[in-house]
Amino acid sequence: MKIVKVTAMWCMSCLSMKKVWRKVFKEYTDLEIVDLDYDFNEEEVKQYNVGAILPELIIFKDGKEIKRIIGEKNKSELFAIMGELNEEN
Amino acid sequence: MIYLDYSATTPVNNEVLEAYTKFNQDYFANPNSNHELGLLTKQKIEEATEDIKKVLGVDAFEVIYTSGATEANNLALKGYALSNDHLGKHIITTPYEHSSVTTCLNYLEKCGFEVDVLDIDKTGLIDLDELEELIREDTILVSIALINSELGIKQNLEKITTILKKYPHVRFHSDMTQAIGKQKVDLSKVDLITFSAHKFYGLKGIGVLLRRKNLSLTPVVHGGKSTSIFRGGTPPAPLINSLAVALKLAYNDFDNKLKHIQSLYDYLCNNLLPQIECANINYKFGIPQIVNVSFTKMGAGKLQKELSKKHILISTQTACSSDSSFSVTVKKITSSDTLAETSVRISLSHLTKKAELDELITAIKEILNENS
Repeated sequence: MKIVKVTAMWCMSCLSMKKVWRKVFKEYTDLEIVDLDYDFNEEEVKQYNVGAILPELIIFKDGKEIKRIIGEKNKSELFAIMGELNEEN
Repeated sequence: MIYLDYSATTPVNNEVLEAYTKFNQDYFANPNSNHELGLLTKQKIEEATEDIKKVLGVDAFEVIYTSGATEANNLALKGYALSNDHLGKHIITTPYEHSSVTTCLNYLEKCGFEVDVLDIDKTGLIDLDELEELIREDTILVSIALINSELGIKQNLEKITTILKKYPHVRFHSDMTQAIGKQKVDLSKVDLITFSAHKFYGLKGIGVLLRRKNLSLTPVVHGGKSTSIFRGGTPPAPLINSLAVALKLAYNDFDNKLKHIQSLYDYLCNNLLPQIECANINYKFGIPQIVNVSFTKMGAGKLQKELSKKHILISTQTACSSDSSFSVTVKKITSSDTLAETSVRISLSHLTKKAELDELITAIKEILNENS
């Protein structure tokens, strides 16, 4: 799976999520993470139609978008989402 | 025009502006120059600095002048963290910080620091037990704004400093930008304090970092001789003097000013807003200068725009959102998307008149009726 992670330097929710992402994503060895900054990577971010709330995680499987995770999630919520995605795919 | 956005910035006090103009004429020399006027200008800076220390009761601190609160927060956070990374790389903060704090902390994360963000309870206050639980041997800094700019949440400084006193290896930074000039604050137990003059009727372009004297910092702005080794550049003597004047004026007749603001807050929240069915006050325990309210029948951005057409100025907030009509801060405290999409901030001053609030409510009623 590939995760495009859109964050911003001014975004406190993005800062809050960093620790959760570290804990959850280290459990998945096959993840490709692409970090995009909402302001510094403006053109690339536009292509993904990012909404009003950050952070936004866009998840791809075999080149196809399969899920978007928007805003803050706790560790259990994120594990649950990742678990579902793995089962479905 | 009815200005109700005093938490964003304040109109400059005439006395401050006059003092600034006169100072520019009388003491225009570079304070680093060793001639008569340079030395006199330097002396005036020292006098202003002593005035600031006296008003705030901060004898044990160095007053470092910056271009504003953003730079002061940069120097406090990046300056302290980068200078003390040999002691540890763990920092604790809250979800309700100003973007200038958030941006610095995101930057420090990229530099290898680890940042924990505290939970808040239903009254917007940080979880004090969690604060104590999160402190580790490598925790070097806790950064908590005394007052949140969007909702007016005031954290319990005494309880926070009582906890931190038990951990002398942890230093405490507080962004006091929304507090200085608006509240009387005991700064004696804080290590790094930041604020700017334009929030209390001073001029834009000058801010302060108060540094407890034994703390080391890595400068963010390097340059020539200044009033501090931690911030380079020619000292802006007229701005420094104007900040001292503004600060003294802000605390002059303070109790009466605060009493007036409290009466305005009560009038707005208890008499006027209940007249509008779709109005929801999002936070009721904050400082009286800030009223955060949602008018659920209209998006925040649209209401702000419509009021602006009628020359009534309020604000919306955009923290963690690319869209001005959604407030993550309001979502956090209310758990409601509707309230977060429709929240506006009305910020009051001792200059605000009761009649202005009447006009505001009449205008909101008209706008809501026209768009229903």
